Amino acid sequence: MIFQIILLIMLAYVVGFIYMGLYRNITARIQGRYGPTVYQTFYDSIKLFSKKNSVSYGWMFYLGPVIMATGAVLTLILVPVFSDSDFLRSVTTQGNLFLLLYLMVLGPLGNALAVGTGGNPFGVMGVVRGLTRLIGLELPFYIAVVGLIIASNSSDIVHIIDLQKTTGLNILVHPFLFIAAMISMVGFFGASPFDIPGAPQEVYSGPRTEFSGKFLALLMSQGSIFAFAKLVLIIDLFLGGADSLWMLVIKTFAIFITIIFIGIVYGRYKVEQAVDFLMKIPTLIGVIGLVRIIWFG
Amino acid sequence: MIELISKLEKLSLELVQKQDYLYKVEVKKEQLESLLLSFLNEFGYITLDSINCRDDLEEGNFVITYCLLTPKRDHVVMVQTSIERENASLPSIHTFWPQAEIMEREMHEMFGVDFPGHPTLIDFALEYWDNIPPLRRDFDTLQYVNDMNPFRGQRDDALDAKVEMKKKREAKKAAKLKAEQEAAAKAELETQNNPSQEVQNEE
Amino acid sequence: MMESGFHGCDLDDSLKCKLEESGTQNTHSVMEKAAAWFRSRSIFVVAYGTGCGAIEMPPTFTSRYDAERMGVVGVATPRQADLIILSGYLAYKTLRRVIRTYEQMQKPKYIITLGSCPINGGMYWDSYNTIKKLDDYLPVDVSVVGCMPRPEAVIDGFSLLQKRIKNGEKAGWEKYDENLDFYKKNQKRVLGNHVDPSYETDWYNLENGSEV
Repeated sequence: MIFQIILLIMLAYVVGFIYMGLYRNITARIQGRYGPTVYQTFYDSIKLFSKKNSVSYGWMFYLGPVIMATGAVLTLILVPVFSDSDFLRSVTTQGNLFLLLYLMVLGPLGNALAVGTGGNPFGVMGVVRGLTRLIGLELPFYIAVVGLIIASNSSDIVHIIDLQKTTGLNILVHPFLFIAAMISMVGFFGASPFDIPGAPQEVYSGPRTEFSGKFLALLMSQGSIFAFAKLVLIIDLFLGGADSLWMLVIKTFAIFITIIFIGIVYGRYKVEQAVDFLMKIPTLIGVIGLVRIIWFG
Repeated sequence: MIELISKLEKLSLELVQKQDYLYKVEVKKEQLESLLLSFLNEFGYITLDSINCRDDLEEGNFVITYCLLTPKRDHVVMVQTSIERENASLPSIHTFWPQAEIMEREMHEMFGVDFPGHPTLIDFALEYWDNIPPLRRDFDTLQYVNDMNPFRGQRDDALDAKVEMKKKREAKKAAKLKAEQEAAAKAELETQNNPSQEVQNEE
Repeated sequence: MMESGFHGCDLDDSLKCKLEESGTQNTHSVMEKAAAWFRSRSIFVVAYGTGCGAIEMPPTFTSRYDAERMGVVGVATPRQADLIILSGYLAYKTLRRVIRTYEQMQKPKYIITLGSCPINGGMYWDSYNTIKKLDDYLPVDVSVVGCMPRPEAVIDGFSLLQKRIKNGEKAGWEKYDENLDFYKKNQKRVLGNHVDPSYETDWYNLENGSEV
């Protein structure tokens, strides 16, 4: 099982980094540039791991990225990756959607603790913006998840995947919930229009301002692992999971490219605008989906 | 404009026309503050365009000029006063025009003019400047620059440009001379050969 | 492209600047060589726009010349950066900030200068407030000459730097560490005793390695 976990983390690391490389490459092509290679994020990551660190702000500063990475890895191993196989099934049955929703907030909290120790004003500004935005992001996502739990009468992800084989994919059965979850997923990926916490023109790198070298490499790695975990969670909940590696890659890539295109086309919202938008449009769509489930089955 | 001239005559001041839009009035330092105030409140010159300073090293004084504008922007009045260079000080007029605060700050930094009552007489563009204020004429800029920032020395394999050019010129001259000599020799040879050729042809 | 020279060393006989010829191999093990290769492929730049050269950086990094295809990306903070671009003349006031920024960067770190002003003062040679030779105060890795260099020349500078990193040649930050006394003495000569905020190790008020 340990072997399987390590294999899964390595898979998430590779796929996540290739997706991040694709993100940069596709963005460049849309902007009329040649762009970096797909492996550029690997180069960045390995270079950052090989840098020397001469900055220290105490043990909490070291612990912050570790807490974030813990949240990402736990989320990854608690989400069932393959629907019909026994791959890591003994672990994934231990968790349910409520635990996952809790673990998804662990990362930002660890980040806030570390940045607070660093004391960089731009980092603190970025964290405040990020946590404010999180309030808006979580509401539609929670509504979508609660709707699915009510509809399938279970908080077990494996059960939700199995149910989709008889009732049809949730993206078709509950489209409103899918739209609400997708909009907040754009924000969870840090794509425009919800990328205000790390806006380079305003708060430099936001929460990452003070992190250098190995810390930054750890943050980048956990970011790509977490991105993969979130993509898998979305396809489990709405696209019926994946029964093979090819299906997994195709389905996650479909979701990912949608998020890329949304992120490239739109500009950036201010914090208030982002929360205002998220509290209104996706929440309303989610509530419509919820009402549809409760009243019309 | 005639009104202004008559008003200034009451204060025994003369308005001189320099160009068709430019007028000048000279005052003493004691009169300056009250005159600027009356320009602002009575004559309607509501804009302070700039405060300029000129260093008259030979006369031993600074000439300070205040450029004032009406709301119509149709002409400029320069109020000019001169103060001694030693311990130069002027009344601060930041209460009349708020923008004067930063202009006076710059003048303090660049010429060392003191403004009693100025709220923020701190560094403006320079930092920790402890020499003579740099725009005063007794500040030797070139000497200061050469002391602080010497020129970059030449490279180890660098060549002296003058010597190299001289060498090049001499080589050119020698080549030209040689070419001339060769041409002369050739011509001589031809004149020597030609009769013999004719002789050969005849044969 | 100009090899950065250290000819200001004869300024001060008490502190002889011991400098090695560039081209010396500094990477030995396979791991070090691999790390050097990855370093050369991924360079994070903090573009410090001093003077007129700042205008050459937007076309270098955006659609027209696209430095990102070489792995050269702009970042927002010196903590994350590997390379600082100083694009033009440096006033004393700017030099204080640049030294501060350079010392906040994490090793290994590099400097590229654009234009002739950081080399010999350029058209500001007789300014009372501008330094002439930047390499007296900070170790310059690559100087891109020209007034101003075009983005093609800037990209040529990037590729020269990448080649040097890949070959494991001795970089500026190592020279800075070895000759810290020389650099700090020069900095102190023009900037006086004012570099704030103060550092933990006060190199400024150290004389011959011991506190005054």
